[in-house]
Amino acid sequence: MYSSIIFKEWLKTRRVFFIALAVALLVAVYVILRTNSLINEHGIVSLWLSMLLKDVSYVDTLTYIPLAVGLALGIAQMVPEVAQKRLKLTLHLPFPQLRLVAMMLATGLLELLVIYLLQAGVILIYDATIFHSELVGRVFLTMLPWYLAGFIGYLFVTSVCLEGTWYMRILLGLVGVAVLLVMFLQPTTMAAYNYMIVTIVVFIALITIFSFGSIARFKEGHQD
Amino acid sequence: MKKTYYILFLLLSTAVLSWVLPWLYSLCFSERDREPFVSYSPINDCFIVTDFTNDSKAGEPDIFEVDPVTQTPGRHYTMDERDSLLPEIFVGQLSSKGQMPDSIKGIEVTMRDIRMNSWIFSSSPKDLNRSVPTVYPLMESMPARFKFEDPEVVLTMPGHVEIINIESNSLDETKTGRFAKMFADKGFSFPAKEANGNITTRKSYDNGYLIIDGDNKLYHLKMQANRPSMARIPLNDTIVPRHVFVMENADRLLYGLFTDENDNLYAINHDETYSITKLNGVKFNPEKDRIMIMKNLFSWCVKVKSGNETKWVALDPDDYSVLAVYDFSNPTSLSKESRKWIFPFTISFTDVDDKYVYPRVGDWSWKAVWLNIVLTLIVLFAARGRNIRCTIGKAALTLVCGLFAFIPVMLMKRVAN
Amino acid sequence: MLNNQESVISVRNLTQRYGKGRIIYSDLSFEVPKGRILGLLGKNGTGKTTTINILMGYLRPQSGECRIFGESITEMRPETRARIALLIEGHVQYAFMTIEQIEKFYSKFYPKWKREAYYELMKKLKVSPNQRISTMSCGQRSQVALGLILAQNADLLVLDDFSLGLDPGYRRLFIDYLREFAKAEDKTVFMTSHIIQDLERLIDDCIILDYGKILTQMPVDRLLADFGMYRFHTDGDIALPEDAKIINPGKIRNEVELYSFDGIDYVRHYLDSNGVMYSDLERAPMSLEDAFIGLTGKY
Repeated sequence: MYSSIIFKEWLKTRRVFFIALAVALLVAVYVILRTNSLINEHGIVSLWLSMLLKDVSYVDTLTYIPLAVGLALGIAQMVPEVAQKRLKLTLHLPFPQLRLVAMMLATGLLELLVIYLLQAGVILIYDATIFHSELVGRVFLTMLPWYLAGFIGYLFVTSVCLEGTWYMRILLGLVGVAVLLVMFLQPTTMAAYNYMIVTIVVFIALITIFSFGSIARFKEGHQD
Repeated sequence: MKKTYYILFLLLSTAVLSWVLPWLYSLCFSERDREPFVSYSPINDCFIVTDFTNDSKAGEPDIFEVDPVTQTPGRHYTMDERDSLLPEIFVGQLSSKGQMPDSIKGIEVTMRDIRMNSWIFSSSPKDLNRSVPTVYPLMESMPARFKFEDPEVVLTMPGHVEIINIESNSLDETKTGRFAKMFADKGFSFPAKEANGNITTRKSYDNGYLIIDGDNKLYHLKMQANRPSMARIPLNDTIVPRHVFVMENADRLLYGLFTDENDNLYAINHDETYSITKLNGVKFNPEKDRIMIMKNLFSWCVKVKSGNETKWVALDPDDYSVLAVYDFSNPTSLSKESRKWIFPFTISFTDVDDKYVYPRVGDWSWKAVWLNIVLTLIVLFAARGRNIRCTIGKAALTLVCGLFAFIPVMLMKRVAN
Repeated sequence: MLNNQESVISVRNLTQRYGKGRIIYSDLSFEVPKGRILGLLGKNGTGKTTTINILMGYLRPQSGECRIFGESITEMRPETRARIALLIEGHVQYAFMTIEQIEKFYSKFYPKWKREAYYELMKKLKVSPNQRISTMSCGQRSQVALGLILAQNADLLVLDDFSLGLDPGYRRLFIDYLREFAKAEDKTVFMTSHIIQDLERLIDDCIILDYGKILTQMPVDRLLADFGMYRFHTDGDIALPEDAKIINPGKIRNEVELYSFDGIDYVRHYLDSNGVMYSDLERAPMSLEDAFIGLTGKY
């Protein structure tokens, strides 16, 4: 049964997953090529100094990519699920409903994690060959909030999709937009979110409740 | 699950609104800073204030001198008159009009003298309150061709010294050995708490780094001919340094400045013994206050802005004795006052004084309690006949968070019942 | 009406409104005994889908209680859900799957899964196993949904408006397959429909809903035996006063049509006692659809 649930989620998301993975990796390759050309043009010292003294991370191209990936994956996964009230089929499956929703979210989050790990991995492995480990760590800490924003975007999109009424969808959506704005208040400052990372992770764990709440509401008949 | 969902959504919406609403409010009622331009005049030995807010004539700021004893406004001046009272600042304007005096206070001055002996130092909390790398580029202080070049190595001091070659991104063992020996010889305690240097090739000389070690000892470090040059700066036992600032001014008067844990500001004089002089009358916490020092031949004019209060202190450049003091308090504006009646508190994620993003609750105001009570009554009225516990929860939240909770509570009425 | 066999579905005093407004129905009670096929019939908007939603736990009723296999629907165990096959309105299925994928998907959930039953029906569809459901016609999709229901081999089948969008051929195919399956395997079926044509072939019992109330609930054969359509001829204007036992009388030119559960003698008595001049009074032959229209009216 578990494999069947994952199979269904995979069928819905596999196309977007591969497109997103390709885009993410292309952006990563672009970031590397651009850094390389800057080294050829100005020398590696200039890059180190810019990073140390001017807070230049050389990865800003990918700022909004993880968010876009998160939103796209959430939509690809949940829209076919809720179109034509198909959610009724899913909830009718002889499987504990909460665990079922948890499995769906876990599959989506795992796919995101794979994309994010591969993208960040490619960039950080490259960076590790040219920058001091502390600088690589700073680049990682700069990118981390962008990836966390991707998870937040995904979870808000899933809860908005699974919600049955337009009124609550709009409320959830507005709160989601506001939360995502917070995630991009200082996108160019390196490691600006250091004090908030743990809070964000806890927050991500908390907002998974919204998807479960949407399902609970759906089951009570809150549907347009 | 559903209950948790509603409670979580209500709390999150309240939190979001306590950020968004004050932000929108300040966007609608933003104001410019009213702080005046203040400088010390060597001609009549008092502060000259140029106040841009209470314009006396159209386009002309109000300019007046401040009585050094009473701190009250004295004679008023025109802009031209002011320029002649502050010749070391408005040297350009004066000389273009041929009005530059040959001597000030009986001392002959040339434009070059003024330029060589004038500098400005400023520091803002934002410079310190941010995530700073502890990787320090090391410049060669005595370049072979007398022209500074970009650093080739960086210094790190986590638990030991490492000199890393930038080009190869690997340890420079020779230099690391030399530096490690020097640090050990000088009794340096790891890890370093703070290091400050000024990495640029556009300077006339290099003062390297000022470093506070793990035991609050102060060091001066330079790299000369690829070798370390290090000195421990002797400090009185009672002085615990907090923040250091390297200076490379043309007058070669100072190695730099530092503050201690009591927010005193000290100058490290550019002499053999690294003598220290406390700047009297100045309290400066670099993590919270902005400072601007305008130094010229005749005075140091130190401005420290701490919250709403700004203080100017004029110091004698020879013995750092206080010449005059001027305090200014930025008046609370109507919009700032009126928001206190609307918002019981605010959440912000950023601050002008740092470069971090994290939630901070502030601006608590009791004045909003009246609005909160009214809104709570509306919530209670609207929820009559509903679940008591739920109503009490919503009312309590509205009583504390006011408008921020009232809006989502009312919006959620048709969602959760 | 319904005999004392074990009830698969038991609905007690169900009341439901649209939000806080119009009553959809109040105090709806019925039982679906094991092995019977019950049709919930009504015009559009009389609450058929609402009832299915309540039964399946997708809507909390304002009051009343529903039990399926003796379990409260709000806390139904997954094992019990496995015993119920559900067809949602419009034969909606996971349209992003192919014929093969959807079979593979569902088979893991149901212990009694009958793969052959599904593929037997699919063979008739003349679609390739790799064809995605979203690219199929409504009729083909209905067969996929039916095939899945047959393969699930559930004890109770709940079908929401299976006739929606089906042309007569597919409707007939659906009904025949379903009837054969249900009767051979002693399955219980609860279904709704707004198209009554052909349903006589399928359902044993019916509940006919009107806006806000239940008009009747009884076995179809009894309905067709007891409920009669009566026609007579009359000259000139006549008045047909209200009578609790005379239903939906209507007059076109000189021909009058009315319905009653109480037999031709009662109709005659009603006409005589109200001084109606009539001739050629007869009971006309009637289908389930005629009975439905007779009960619910043409408007």
